[in-house]
Amino acid sequence: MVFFVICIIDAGRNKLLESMEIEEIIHKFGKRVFNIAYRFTGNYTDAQDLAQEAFVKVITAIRNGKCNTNLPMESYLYRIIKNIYIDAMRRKPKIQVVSIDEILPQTEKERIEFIQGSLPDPETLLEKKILEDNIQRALKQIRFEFRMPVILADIEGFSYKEISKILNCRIGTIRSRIYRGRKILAKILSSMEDIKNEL
Amino acid sequence: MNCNKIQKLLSSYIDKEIDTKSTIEIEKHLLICNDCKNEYDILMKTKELLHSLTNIDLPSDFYENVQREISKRAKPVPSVQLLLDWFSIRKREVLVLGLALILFFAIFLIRNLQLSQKENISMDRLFLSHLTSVRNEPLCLNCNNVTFIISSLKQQEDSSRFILVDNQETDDDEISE
Repeated sequence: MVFFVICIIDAGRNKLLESMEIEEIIHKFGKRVFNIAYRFTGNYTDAQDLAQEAFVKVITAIRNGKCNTNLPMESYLYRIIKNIYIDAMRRKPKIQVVSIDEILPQTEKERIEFIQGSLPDPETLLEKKILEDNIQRALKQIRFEFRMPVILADIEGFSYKEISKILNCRIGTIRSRIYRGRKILAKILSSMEDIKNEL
Repeated sequence: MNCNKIQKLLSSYIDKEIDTKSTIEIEKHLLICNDCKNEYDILMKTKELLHSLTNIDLPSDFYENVQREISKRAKPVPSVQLLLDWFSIRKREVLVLGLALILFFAIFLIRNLQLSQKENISMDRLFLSHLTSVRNEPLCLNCNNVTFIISSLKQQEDSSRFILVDNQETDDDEISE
C-alpha cells in the first residue's frame, strides 16, 4: 500500500519535473536555437519548424534515456538542428515560396513595438531590413558546409573548438571552412548593390 | 610567411584562434602589405555585418507547440514497461524499500514463530492437564509400531516441559495377546 502511494506521488512529481525541464530548456536555449535555425533556413516558418523539431527530438531523447552524448546541451541542440536541416534539404524541393508576411513584424513583441512606434524610424528600419535580408540571402547562397561554421562563429560567437564539436569535424577543417565561407560571403555581398558600400 | 599564407590565416587571426607567434607575424605583415590589409578589412567587415544581425524573438506559442508535439508523438507505454522504467530510474529507492520489506517480513516471521511456539506449549499443557485430571486410566499411544502406555504424567518443576512417569513400553504383539 505504502509502496503504491510512493509510486503515485513519485509519478506526479516526475511529471511536474519533466514539464519544468521542457520549459527550462526552451527558456534557456530557445531564442538562440531559433535564431540559428532562422539563419540556416532564411525564413521564419521553416526556422520555427526546424527549432521545434530539434527541441522535440532532444527532449524525447532525454526522456527515453537515449541522449548518449558528451556534448553540452546547447551544442547537442545545434548538432541536431544541423542533422534535421540536412535531412530536410535532401527531401525538400529546390524552389521555395517565401511569404510577403515575413517582411512584416513576426513576433508579438515586434508587432507591439511596431504599433507603439518604439521601433526606429521607418527609413532606418527599412535600411536595416534590406541589409539583413541581403545578408540572409547571401548566407543562403553559400554551400551548407561553409555556411554552418560561419554562422556559428560570426553570429553565435562560438570558438573553433566548440564548432568542431558541434559539427563533428577537425579544428583544421573548421578553420579552413570559416575562411572560405567568409571569402565567398564577402564576394556575394560586394556584388549586391545595397551592401557594396558597407564592405 | 608570404601573402598567400598570411591571407589563409587572416580569418583565424580575426577570431583570435592562432598562436602568438603567428599573430605577431601577421600584424607586422599587415603594416607593410596593402593587399593583405585590404583582404583583412573585407573579412573583418563581413564578420561585423553577420554579428550585427538582429536577434529574432522566439514565437510566443513555441513552448506550447513543442509540448503538444511531444505529447502527440509519445507512444503509449505498457504498464509493465512503466514499472520497469520506474525501477531502473529509482534503483536506490527500490533497494532501500526491498531491504525494508525483507526486514519487516523477517521480524514478522520470527515474531510469529515465537508466538506459535508459545501457543503450542500451552496447548500441550492444556492437553496433558486434561489427560491427567479427566482420564485416570492408562493411555495407549502408538508410535512406529511401539505402543506407549502412559499411566500418569507429571510436570517438571520450573519448566513447561512434561515428562512421562511410570511409562511402560510393550510390543504390539504383547498388547494383542
